[in-house]
Amino acid sequence: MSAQPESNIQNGEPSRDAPSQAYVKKVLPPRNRKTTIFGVLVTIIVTLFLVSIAVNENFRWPIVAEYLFHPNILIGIGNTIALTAISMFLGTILGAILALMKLAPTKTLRWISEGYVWFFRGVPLLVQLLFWYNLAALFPQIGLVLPDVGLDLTLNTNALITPFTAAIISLTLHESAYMAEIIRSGILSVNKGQKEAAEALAITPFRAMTRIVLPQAMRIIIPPTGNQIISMLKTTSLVSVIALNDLLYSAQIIYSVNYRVIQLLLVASIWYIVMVTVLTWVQSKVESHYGKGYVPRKVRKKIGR
Amino acid sequence: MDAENDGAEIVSVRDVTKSFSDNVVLSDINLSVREGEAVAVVGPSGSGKSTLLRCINRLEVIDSGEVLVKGELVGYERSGDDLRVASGKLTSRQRLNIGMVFQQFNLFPHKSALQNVIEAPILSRRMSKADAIGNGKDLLTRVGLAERVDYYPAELSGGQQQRVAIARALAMKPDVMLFDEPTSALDPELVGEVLAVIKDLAEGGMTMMIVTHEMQFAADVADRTIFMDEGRIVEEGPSRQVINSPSSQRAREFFTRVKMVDI
Repeated sequence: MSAQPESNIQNGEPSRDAPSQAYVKKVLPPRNRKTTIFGVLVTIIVTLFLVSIAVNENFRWPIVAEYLFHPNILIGIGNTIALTAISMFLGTILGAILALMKLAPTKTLRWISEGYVWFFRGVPLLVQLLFWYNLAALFPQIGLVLPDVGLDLTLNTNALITPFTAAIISLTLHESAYMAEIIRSGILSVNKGQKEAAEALAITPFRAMTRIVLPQAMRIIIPPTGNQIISMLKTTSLVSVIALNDLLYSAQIIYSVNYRVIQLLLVASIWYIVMVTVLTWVQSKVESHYGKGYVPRKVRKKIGR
Repeated sequence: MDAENDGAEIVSVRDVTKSFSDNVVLSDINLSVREGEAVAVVGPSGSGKSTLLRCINRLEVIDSGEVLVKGELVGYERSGDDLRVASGKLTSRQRLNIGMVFQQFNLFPHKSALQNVIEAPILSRRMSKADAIGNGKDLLTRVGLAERVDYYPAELSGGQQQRVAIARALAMKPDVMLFDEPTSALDPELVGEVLAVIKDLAEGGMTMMIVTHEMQFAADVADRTIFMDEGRIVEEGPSRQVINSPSSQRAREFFTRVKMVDI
């Protein structure tokens, strides 16, 4: 310490008539100068890039605008949404059952669940799509025949497996294997005392799971599930290999006739981004619903959770 | 034993043995709790007292012996001379009349205080929602939390949370309350408010078993105290006698160690 501060201290207290030694009035936030510079740089680069795209005649934006609301594109969007919604819904239910089986005390259930997840995470989705779509080549007829009883419930496989059903089956089986792991980790994140408290209150194990444990597990389950839905939305574009007119395939059909490949891919991309934006917004709303009781109410309002 | 111990037998523990792999936590436990009696269970940590309590509503499965509450098995079915662990549904039905309060409160964090209290009566007792709410508010008032019915557990202090947990257990109108170290997770200044609620219940005639480290409380409130060590009941009798002048060496050492300030 230098001599100067000491000279301003009398009886162990800083002197009041020395402005240079006055108490700190205000603590300022850190400057973050480098972050600001970085932000400005990124903004400039992105703006230049966007401008160069917008003014580039080769992109032919009028054609993009023309096809943006083309009826076939809109039908494609409908199919993409339907595929995503149905296979996510079924995949989540199946995944929840698999998760509960894996957490069950019985070894048999655990093994079945583990075997399922091992298999369906291992087989590429594209292979599954082609397999289910061509099921008729392997099993021309599907059904149950009991000659003694006179029962004959056979169906023509080709009638049963349309591109849409093949897509739903493959996407559901594939997705359920991933959802099983997500739901299982969510359930494991809930304190064991919650289940005990519910059981001590004479609540049945099933109700304890659905009313007490799962709602709390949702906090952990939702963020990765949102990820899965967004990923699924785009994964559905794989169904173009089985000639199902989802958003991407609809765009492909149009450009195979008019050769506006880039413009139609832009149309599809714009719609994918719009849908992902909506999903992201919905996810944040759902997260705040399940944040009840974890984030104090005042804070929740302030940060919009 | 006592003149006041002439009520019906509510809890009967007979020859109960329990071990976790090689570690014997309960060996040959026998005890009974009569109607209206408050029994404290004390002893060093690891003596098996919490496990004993958890065996009564079958949060732990015993290895041999039997536990009856009001003469009925809880969580088991008879299978010849043996017991078989019962299904979840049957176990829930058998648990209806046993209340339990945990060391860590275990309130449902996604539900408000009132929702915590009405959940089980509606789900398990099939009480109407209106009745459950009326009853729940009465109970929360009784534990001094009338102003806090809409608060979430995270917005309550430890002592308040534990009082909600007590109201939640009482909402099932249990025949017996099991308290598993109800004040061990609390800051010292919050212990009193929870003990006051329990004392109030005991004076109101609630049958209860309390696993506790609060010796003064045990001496004041419990009719009987059971001292456990290494999975066995070492000493049992009127609380003041067991706590103030224990007859066994092990109990004397224990009570000296916990240094009671004044009894």
